[in-house]
Amino acid sequence: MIVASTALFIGVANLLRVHWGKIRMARPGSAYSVLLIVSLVVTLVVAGLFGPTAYWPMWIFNNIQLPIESSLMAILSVVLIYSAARLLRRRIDLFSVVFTIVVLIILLGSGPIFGIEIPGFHGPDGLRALIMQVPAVAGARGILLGVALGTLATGLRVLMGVDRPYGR
Amino acid sequence: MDEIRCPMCGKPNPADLEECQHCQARLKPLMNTSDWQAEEPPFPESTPQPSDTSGDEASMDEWLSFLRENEEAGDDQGSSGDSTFEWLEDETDDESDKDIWMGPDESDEDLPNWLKEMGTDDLPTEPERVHFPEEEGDQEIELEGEEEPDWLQKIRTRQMEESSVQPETEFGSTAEPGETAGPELGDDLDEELSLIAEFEQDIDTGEYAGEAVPEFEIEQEALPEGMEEEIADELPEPAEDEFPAWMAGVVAGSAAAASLEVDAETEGLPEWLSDLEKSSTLDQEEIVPFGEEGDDLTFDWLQSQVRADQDIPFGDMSEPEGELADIGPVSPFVGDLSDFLEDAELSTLESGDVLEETKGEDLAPADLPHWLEAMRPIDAAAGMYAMGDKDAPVESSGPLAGLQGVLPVEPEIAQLKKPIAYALRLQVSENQQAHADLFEKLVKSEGEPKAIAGRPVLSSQYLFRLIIFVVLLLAIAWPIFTNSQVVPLPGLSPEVLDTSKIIGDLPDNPLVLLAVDYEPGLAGELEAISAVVVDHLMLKGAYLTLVSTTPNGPALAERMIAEISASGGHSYQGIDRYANLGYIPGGVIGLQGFARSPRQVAPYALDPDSTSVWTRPPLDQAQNLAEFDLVAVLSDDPGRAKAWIEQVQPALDDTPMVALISSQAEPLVRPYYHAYPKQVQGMVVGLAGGGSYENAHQDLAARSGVARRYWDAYTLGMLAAAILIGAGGVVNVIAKILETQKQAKAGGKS
Repeated sequence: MIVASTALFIGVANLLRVHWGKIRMARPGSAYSVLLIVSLVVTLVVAGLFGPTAYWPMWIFNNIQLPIESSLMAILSVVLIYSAARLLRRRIDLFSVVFTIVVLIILLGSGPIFGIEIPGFHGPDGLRALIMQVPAVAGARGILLGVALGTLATGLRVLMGVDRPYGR
Repeated sequence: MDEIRCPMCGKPNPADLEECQHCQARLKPLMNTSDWQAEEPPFPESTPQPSDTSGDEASMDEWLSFLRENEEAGDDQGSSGDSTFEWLEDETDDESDKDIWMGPDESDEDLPNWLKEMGTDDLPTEPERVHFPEEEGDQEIELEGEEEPDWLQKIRTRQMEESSVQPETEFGSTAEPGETAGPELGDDLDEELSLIAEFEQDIDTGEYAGEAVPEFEIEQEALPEGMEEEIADELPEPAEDEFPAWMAGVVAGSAAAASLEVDAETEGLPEWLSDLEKSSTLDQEEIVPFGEEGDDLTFDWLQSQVRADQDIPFGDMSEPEGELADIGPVSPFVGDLSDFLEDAELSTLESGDVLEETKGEDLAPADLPHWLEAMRPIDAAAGMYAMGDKDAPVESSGPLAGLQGVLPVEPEIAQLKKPIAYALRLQVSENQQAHADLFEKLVKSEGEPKAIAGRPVLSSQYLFRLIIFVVLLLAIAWPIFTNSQVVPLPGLSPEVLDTSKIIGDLPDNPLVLLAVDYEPGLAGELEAISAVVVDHLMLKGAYLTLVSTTPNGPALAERMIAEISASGGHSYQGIDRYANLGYIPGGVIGLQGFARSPRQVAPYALDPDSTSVWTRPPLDQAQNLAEFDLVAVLSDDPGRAKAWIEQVQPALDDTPMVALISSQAEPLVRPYYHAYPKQVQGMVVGLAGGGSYENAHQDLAARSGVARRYWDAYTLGMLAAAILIGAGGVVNVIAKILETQKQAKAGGKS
């Protein structure tokens, strides 16, 4: 935990240094760096001065950070819909069609459509539940197993000195 | 001198023997000549016999040239070795000659041998010069005159026959009788001078009229000053009538270094000798620096050389004959002319014929003896090895003597030629040129910027994105702003039922650990899910202990408690109702540590007093997580949800764990719910789960109702999204098919 806390502190310090360098070099987009540094300093001062759960820090969180991130998620939904619709324009093959059909099933099966539950489609034994509990979990666990094995192999290589990611 | 050492075998012999008694080699030379004659092979058989006058004249030329070369060899021995003939250099460089005829003083090398001999004989400070060392018997010379060369004997004979009274030189009488070589040297000089006098007489009598008398200048010998004075003092003052006029001039000029006007007519000198005398006089009187001679150079050959260097054609030499005879100012080195300059003059005279025109004399070619021609094959070699350019200079000395144009020196080097201009234009045909121009245009066109075709303001893609935005906005915003709740909530699902039952079975004022691990972007979904559940817990009077493994979790927890408390009418404020333990760093490891010893990992709350909550009720009763009544995990990330389930749930013992998760985390969390024994005893998944929970607790939905407010918008939004994706996909497929067919038609036509 101490290492993680130090890493978090180092990350914040590195973020500050990088954007300060951009401001000094007057690179394009340095105005955003200025905004970032100002926000960091203000939040740090306010949270440090009043406490993280005080009124002003919570005001900053509720009125700035949370709406921004929620808006990003809203934009993401529009982009995902557009991409799914354009997928068949770019490439018409079996996987594209399957992907599009699965998306439609999950969306329509997430809840009753105007209160109407289609048997075999909605519910814990429906098509949506089947897809989410078998193929989706199988794929997700396969990815997780791959990540775990890759992490293990990378750790062993680092321990044996085969890989030196921070050395020359 | 009792013994004479043989020059061949080196053995001693009696002095009176003429041949070595050991090897029969001749001990005494055959000729009693001067040094150059003694050293040169006699060639008696090659000497032309002066049978008649012409033969005498030829012999006269020969010995005169020898005499002159001997004198000049003495001059050039030390200073101008490059301009001296090699055979003469070899002779003059011979140490034995120097020992015999020359003193050790280097300045004596400038003197003619006969004059040196006179000087050395008279020098009392060097008496050893006149002695002939016995060890140099091979160079001992008999000066008796019994071994005279044939030509000299003939001259003497002719002199006797003519019985002409010649002035007796005083050289012989000037020698001291007591000196060893004095009389012999005097006799030798006497002979030479008599020959010269005879030659002068022949000239006066016109015997040599029309002969090719070699043109030479009697040069002022560069005697050392002291030497000249000594010679002048030692020598008796001869009467003018005792010397030949030219010799008198030479001697007087050498001794006194003064100008001497000699009247050729009164002294009986030939004309050319009187001119030479004048030139000798002028050499001393009118010496001008080199380079300032002007056009009236004294010597024709030098003029020709200068003109040749200046690229002046010979035809431009329009000087009258009289001017040539009139010798003007002479450069300082004129008096020290060496052989190569004279040879150059002679060659100029032969080739340019300028001097012939000026003098108007036809000089017959000299009848050189064959031995001399054999020694100096200059003309023959020049004709034999001439290389192309006839105007190229002929080498007059050195190993390349006689070769023409073998050493092109300064004139050719100095010639600056304009470099040859090569045409850079390629020889190409018109077709090739056309192709080259076309290629050049193509290359240039690649470098030219091309205007990018303007994009339409409203493209199909932009319109499609705009349509998606508008449809979604209307589908979501309309139910919210109209507060529509027409769409029925979903039915009660098993996981929601289990969750509701677990919370319902909690004792009053339960101790609940609530993990808030989601991001602000998904706060809308998670707050809709958790609102009814947390409200249910608040109704139970639960003491909420909030903890998070994300940096934003503490703030989200505060926000959630505040909103639910406000919407549910609860007074969850302060450390007495809930404790926000804040952020637990380290992810999975942090959770592991928190599961083992929560008091050490998160000892303080985030209230303004940073209260140590573990020391005050109700948390003072909880030593570990198993003593909590319920653990509820709010997460949008399946990874974090798994971390809580895998790291914390084993430490809970019988304490139930429920998962309030987003729809995206359902696939990975649901297996823990369906596991046996269940690692997750209850789940509320997504907005549908929240609506289902509200549907099961209508009283709770009436107070908070977040899922209810969102459900119509959510349903319409999901339906709109599905329609857009489906319709858009169909349209795009049709467009793709049409485009492919169009391209296929276009390809078939082409």
